[in-house]
Amino acid sequence: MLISPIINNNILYINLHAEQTFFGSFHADQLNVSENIITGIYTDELLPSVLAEILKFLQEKKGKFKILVLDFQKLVTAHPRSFESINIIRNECKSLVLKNIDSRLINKLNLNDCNEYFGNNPKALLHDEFLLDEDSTGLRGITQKTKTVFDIEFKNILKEINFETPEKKIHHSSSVYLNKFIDCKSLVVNHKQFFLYTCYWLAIEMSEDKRPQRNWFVEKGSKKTLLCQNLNSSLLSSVLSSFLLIDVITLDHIGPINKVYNEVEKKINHGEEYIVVADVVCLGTEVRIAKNIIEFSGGRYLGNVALIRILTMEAAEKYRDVESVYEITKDNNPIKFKVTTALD
Amino acid sequence: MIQETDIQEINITKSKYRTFTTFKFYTEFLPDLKRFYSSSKISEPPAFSLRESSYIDPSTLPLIISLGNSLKQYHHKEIPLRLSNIPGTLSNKVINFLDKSDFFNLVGDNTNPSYAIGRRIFNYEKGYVGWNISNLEVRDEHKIRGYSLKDLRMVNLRRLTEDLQRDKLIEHYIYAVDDDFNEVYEYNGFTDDERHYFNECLSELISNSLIHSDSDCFVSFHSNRFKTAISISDTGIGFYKSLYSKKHGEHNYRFLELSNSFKKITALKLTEDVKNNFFSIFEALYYSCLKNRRGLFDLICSIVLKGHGIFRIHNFSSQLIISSKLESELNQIYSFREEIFEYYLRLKRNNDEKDLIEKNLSALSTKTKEAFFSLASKVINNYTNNVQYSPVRFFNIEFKGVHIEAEIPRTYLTEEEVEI
Repeated sequence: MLISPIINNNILYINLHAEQTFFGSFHADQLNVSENIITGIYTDELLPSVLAEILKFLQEKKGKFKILVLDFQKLVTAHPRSFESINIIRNECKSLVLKNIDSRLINKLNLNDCNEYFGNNPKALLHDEFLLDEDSTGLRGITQKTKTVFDIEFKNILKEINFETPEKKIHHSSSVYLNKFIDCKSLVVNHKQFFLYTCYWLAIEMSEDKRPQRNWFVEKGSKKTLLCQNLNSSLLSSVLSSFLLIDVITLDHIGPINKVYNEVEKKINHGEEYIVVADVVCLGTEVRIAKNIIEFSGGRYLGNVALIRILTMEAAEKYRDVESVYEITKDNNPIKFKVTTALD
Repeated sequence: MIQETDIQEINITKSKYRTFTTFKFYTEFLPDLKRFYSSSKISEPPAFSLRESSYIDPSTLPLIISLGNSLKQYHHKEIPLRLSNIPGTLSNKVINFLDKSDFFNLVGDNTNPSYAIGRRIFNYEKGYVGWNISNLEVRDEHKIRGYSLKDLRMVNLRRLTEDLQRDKLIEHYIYAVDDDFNEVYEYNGFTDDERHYFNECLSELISNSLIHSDSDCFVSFHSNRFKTAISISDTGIGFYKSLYSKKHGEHNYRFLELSNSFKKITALKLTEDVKNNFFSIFEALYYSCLKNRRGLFDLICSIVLKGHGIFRIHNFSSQLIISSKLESELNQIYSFREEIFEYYLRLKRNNDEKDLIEKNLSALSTKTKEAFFSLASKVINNYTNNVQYSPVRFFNIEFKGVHIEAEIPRTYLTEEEVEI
């Protein structure tokens, strides 16, 4: 299974680091049961089985796209056996674009006839775009970044997975009313691969050092813990914990806002750092409850992550503890999401 | 009922050995063992002893374990291992060194998956292990592991073609080795490039050994400021029998073609078996040189030519040492090898020139054979003229299987990186 293929404008984009991460995290130990190997997103070597999987995918999809883009971002080396598959992949598509590829990787993959492109500069590293085609000059510059393509695809899928909530009925649990419901379960069920790809991007964002915009990040081997607060978020955090190699705990049934807690969870360890995981964060009530529980029990709340964050309301200051894959703001609101109160 | 005192002890770390190296294993320890087996009626296995202390070279550990493994299979019981651990002496240091390298977990009955899973080869008293009072810091820079096809879940692995088997195994062992030797990498501050390089070497060697030998293999990997060393040992069928099973004429390789031409010219006074075993090392390299996949020969070239290291191959009773002394011959073969590989690549891209390419390949294979011939004659010539520094050694005692040691100086790798 591939997680990253996206077709946009007759161009098929595949993110090789995402595929290698997925394989290294879920298929690395498939030959030996007693070993438990998870490489996570920290992997930087491209292995042949990922390319074999891509080849299988291409043979199924034959003729449905014109150009294939392979993104090598974050990969620094490849196993010498990988080159064979790359050569077959070349024959499977009309033109092949290799993005963000290193000249050392080119040598490893035995794509020597491409050396002309690099000229006499063997030290040239990380070229943005690199084409393998007879009349490749016409293609230069028409491909997009894989992250941009991902964002466009996410927007399209977001339009699919939301639906109107029935008319406003006054209820007691909260005074906030939403006009749309974003169904993350259908993202998981109907777009399984894309959900995993979304998790990959979230993990990448979490591992990047973005200080001072965000005051935390997850480095390799860190002792932070993910805290999930409902069923969707527990699936999300279990995937994230494989990608980032960190622990996960569950606090189920947080909220609604008028819930009375007569006992505080005993799962929180004193002094440990926690990141709250949610699927959709609207006003952040549940996250705030989780934060209070963590801090009351002696843990340290670092921040929270979500797939989708609603930022249509004006905040007094910018949050420095949050991370999300997609933000719905006043200017960027493809599904016309609106938050109202009982007074409106 | 056999008393414990009746079992004869064979000392692994005799004080006369001083540092116990692989050379001493072949030349002194194995004759000791042979003397035991030829002296009396054998019903009970000998007890290996670590009581008299001397330093142990980590490269010998795979040899000791695979020897123990084959003795265990012969006697159908675990081999006794006698230890002593006296605080403040060398014995304490040796025990701690073995403990840190995961030796006791591997040969004992450990079931905790965080460490090497026990293979139940030696039977030792656990009370001796695990305490370090002599204030000697034992570093995490050496590890030993065992690999076996029996551990793997793929039932039909053996039904796949050899190349597919190898691809599957190499991929699996890249992950596994990176995980298993993580501590060695971390402790020695390996760069990412070095890490990838050694993962590649180790996985290639392990899968080669498992596919061809039909037995388990044991690997030690250690590193210090000066060098990084890999030692891998199996007790399998050896090169000769493994090559015997190759298809005639595949990749222009014909079984014993090379050895027969050696036999005609050399006047080595050796038995036929020893000759076969010795020449089959060259045969194996020659075969790997002709193949359309990267393999053992490419690994040797990358270690000896690029890494400036030493590569020792021991097959039954003969050992070939490939080092920079053979550089000029090796360079020539390597250039042929690259040409062969380039032709296979072209063959893969388009099939139109098939006839021409195959013609060129068969011409190249003859050239390669000649180059191997000149390599072998140089090696044998050195042996007859200057035994002490010769790249080949013949031992009196046969030790089953193929045993490979590779040593790579650390400075060279980093210098190359600076250039990049």
